[in-house]
Amino acid sequence: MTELLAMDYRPVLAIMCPIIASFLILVSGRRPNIRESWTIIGSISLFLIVLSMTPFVLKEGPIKCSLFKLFPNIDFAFNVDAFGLIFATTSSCLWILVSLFSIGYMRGLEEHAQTRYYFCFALAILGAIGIALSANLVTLYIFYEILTISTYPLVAHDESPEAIYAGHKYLAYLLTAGVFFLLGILVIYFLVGTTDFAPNGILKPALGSTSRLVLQALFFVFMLAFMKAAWMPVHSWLPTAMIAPTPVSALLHAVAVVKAGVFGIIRTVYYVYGTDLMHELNLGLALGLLASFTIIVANFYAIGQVNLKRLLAYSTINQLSVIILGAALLSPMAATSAMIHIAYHGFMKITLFLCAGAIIVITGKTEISQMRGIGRQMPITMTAFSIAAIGMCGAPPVAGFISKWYLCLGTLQAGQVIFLGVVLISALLDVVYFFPVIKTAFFEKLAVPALANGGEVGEKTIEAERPLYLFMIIPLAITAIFSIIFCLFPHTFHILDLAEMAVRNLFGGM
Amino acid sequence: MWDFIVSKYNYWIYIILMMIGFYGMMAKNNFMKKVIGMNIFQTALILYFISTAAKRNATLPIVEYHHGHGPGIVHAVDFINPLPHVLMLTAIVVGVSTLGVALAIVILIYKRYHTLEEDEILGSKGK
Amino acid sequence: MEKIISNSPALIVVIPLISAFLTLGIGVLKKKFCYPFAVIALSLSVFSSVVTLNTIIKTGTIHYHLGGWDPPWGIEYVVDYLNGLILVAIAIIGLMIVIFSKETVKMELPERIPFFYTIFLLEVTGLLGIVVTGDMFNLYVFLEIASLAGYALIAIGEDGAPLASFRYVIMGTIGACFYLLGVGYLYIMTGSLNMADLTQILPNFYHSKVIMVAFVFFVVGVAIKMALFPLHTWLPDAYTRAPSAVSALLAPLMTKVGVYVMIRILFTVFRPEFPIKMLHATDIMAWFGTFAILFGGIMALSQTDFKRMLCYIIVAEIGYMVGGIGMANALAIKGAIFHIINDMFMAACLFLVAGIVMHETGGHDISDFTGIFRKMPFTAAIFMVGALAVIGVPPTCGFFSKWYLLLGGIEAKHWGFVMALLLCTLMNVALFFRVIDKGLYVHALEHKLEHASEPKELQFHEAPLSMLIPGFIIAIAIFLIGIFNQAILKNIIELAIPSGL
Repeated sequence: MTELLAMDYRPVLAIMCPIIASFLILVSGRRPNIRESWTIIGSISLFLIVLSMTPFVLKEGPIKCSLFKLFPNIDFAFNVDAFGLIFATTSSCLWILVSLFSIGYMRGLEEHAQTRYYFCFALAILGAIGIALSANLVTLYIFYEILTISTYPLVAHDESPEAIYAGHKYLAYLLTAGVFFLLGILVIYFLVGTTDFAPNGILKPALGSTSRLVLQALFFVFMLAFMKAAWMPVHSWLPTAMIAPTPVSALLHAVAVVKAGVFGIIRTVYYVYGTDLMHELNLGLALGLLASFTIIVANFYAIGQVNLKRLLAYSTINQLSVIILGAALLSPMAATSAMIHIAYHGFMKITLFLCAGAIIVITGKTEISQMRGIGRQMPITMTAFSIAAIGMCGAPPVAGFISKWYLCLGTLQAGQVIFLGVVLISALLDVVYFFPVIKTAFFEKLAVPALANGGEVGEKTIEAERPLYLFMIIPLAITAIFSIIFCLFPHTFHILDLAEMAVRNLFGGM
Repeated sequence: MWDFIVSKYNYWIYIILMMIGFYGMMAKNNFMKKVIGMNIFQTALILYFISTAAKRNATLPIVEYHHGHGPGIVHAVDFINPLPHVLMLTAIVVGVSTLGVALAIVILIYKRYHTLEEDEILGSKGK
Repeated sequence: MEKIISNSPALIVVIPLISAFLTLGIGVLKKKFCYPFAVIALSLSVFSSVVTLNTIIKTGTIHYHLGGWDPPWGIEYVVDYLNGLILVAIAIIGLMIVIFSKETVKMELPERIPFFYTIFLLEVTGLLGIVVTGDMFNLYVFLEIASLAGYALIAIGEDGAPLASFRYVIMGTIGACFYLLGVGYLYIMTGSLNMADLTQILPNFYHSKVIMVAFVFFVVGVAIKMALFPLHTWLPDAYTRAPSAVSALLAPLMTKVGVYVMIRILFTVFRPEFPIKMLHATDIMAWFGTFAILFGGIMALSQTDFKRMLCYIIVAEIGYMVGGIGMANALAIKGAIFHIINDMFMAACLFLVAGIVMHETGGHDISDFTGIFRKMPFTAAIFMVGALAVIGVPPTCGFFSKWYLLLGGIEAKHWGFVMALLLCTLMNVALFFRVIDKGLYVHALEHKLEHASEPKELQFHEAPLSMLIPGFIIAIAIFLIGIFNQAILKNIIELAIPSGL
């Protein structure tokens, strides 16, 4: 009993926040203002709880909390370590901002089924936080499935035939991935009898009892399990899912689903397999090649896109594989880069998507060619967009520079210069497709012709036309500013400290 | 070979009866014939069990008491095995109940479709 | 109290039996009292079964000699860890369904209420008797009681029910007769009908042809009763056309009791080495199980009727259990036994939802599920729990039994079974999300109908409480069984695994 009381219950509190919020959202469906306030309260409390755990973890080490026994040697347990906290901090902070944006978006477009939307959103965040805090593969699997199932009604929200088709494709990919995940977990449990995460991996003992080929094949089963990370060629659910409302796309592409995928991959590489086993089986190189393929090909796909959201989708696919590449290099600096890029890319990508969403709501435009001169109509929005785009290309003073810098150093540290080339080429290609958007927005004439009476209509900013729009503009400005802050002050939210601590534990103080 | 068939003639009879019943159930179109087939099948089974009770030079399994004394020592060899007979009483009852339920269902079918031929019923359902 | 505890195995069966006849009498006098009387009878049954399980956990296997006659001359009721748990599950589900049945019986069978409850109680008696008995012939008797009551209950359903029931009569009788033939062969060779006795005597006869043929007849007979592919053809029609309360009772229980009988015969009466090593029957069963899973899944995908889809899912679930038995290792048998309990609750949950939808909309097609998340949110929640359990999403119970079945398959290196199970998971996802789509996505429909606020068909109209409460209890049970699965497994099921595996 005393050990029950001595357990730190903060992980459980963190999980309870979204659960209680979702329930309250469901019952206050008839009163929209109260319903939205539950979301805001829940997200702020979650963020504060996560932030409170950070100093403790930095000083003392992981917070462990085991709830009940699922199987022999597998508990439903939480293990809040440095790496998990990076993901948790990012998700919870961005939940607040995306919720504010959603209020503006959903009410601006007068969308249907808003209660279902906020309910599923809260459950999706539950999935993300659970994934971040879980202590073993089975707990991760539980929250993984919660994430997939709760995001399905969000993707198909529109309920048009295309939206339902997109939802079915989404589910087909991700639940198949879940089946592969289950198979992988079972084989690991069968081989070593445990599925807990440990910094040096748990699979090393299996080398004695089974062949190398089995372990290599098992790794690819796990890669298939993490189709959420949208590596090619199992990426095509992501562009199709762009038909979802933009806050959902922001959630999918910055916060929850895709980051859960790369989070799972990093957990598998470092905490299940471990760096020694990865070197032994040459899996680092294989993974690196796979990631490089995705990086380059996704960039080429992005260059040809006319729809802004699809362009951002391919940019996401590209950046996720940058994170995977960082993990695959198996060197301390590259691993640091992967971990901080989870957070930094989250903030930058969300800025881009929120801008796209604001443009859709305020002007109704979705294609880049329609957005000529929109920079003058929506200056704050397009400035934020440009800041984030600069960051995606890896240029200072935006956070993307820090993670790209660490990554390049990491490739040199690992001695794989070819990947350095890949990173630099991809940065160049990023400029190729982001620059035209900025150019079209700022440096081209407005699409609207001048009025007969001489004045040019639409030159004025329309961002503050309705007070509702401020709900959208302010969050995206905040995320853009955070992207700059992360570059100038890397210790914000302790993201860099957490990454360094995690890497130190993994590589033993190298 | 001939010896094999003749000495176990009872078993052959039951097999033939069972197959007749089985054929009736499967191949006949009319529901009444199926029910009759089912009954023949069950009866063959009951007969088989009874035959396992028979013994050479043994008499009915009824023990007689002699004027107020107990039953005395009973030589089981002299009596045929009563247990299968008892079990088959139960089985006969089960068979009768099954027959009853099956016939009730046949009545329901007839009330609905006015025919007891399976192919006619399936044909009319197809329309 | 002492007397009740010591006689509880018999009470479990006797109470519903006597109540069945009393119900008939009461019903003739006053129809209204049938329902409460049936509920009371089954509650007493639940109580005795829980008492029995408690006794088993405390003191071990119960041997109850009916009438005071010692075995092998008398009939013996043997309740060990395996039966005890299944008894409780059957009794609880029986009670839940009888509570649920009030409204549907009033709607579907208004003039037959006393007869319905009589036969209902007889059916539950039969099922409980099959599980509790330790005598081979007694099992046949109870099997026939359950089957006959089943035939009658199914035949009073909707259009096409008598035909479906007739097919079930023919096939079920063949199955029971095969079982009886097997019993006869065993009796000829060993002279005993008592299961425990047979376990001792049979090893001397394992090489005899008669015993091998007896085994085959047993397996085929029980396979017909439990609807193992390809002997399942009676199941889809019968359970689809039956009245809602009847399919909700029979679908979870009848076939799973068949699996229990199979486990008893395979591993208790015949020692495990006989089917596994000498006959290699388990290898064949593993493949039949695999094909059953694939067949059930594929056929279910092509159905438009919700209840028919559920029937094929049941065929697939039986495939899981038979395949698990076929793996012949402790992990897979653990999974199979646990899955018996889980499938009872999952099938009860889903058929209950089908019954509610039938009561509200008059049909059990998938299109009748349109908008249920708005019309009947509580029913939709119960449906989600059942769907997630069948798919195998933690923490519902379905995940845990699937885990053990898959682990057993991996240990036995039977990749066909493992792949079939995983494929079936995906097929179940497609099946249930088809229905969830219909239920969830109403706004396109709304826009199509008119831009009015809420068309009449989508207004909130929840099912009556007597139907919802059993649903909630079963849904909560699904979660509890999942969360406490280690407690159930360690204390009961691991002790039920036949030794020698």
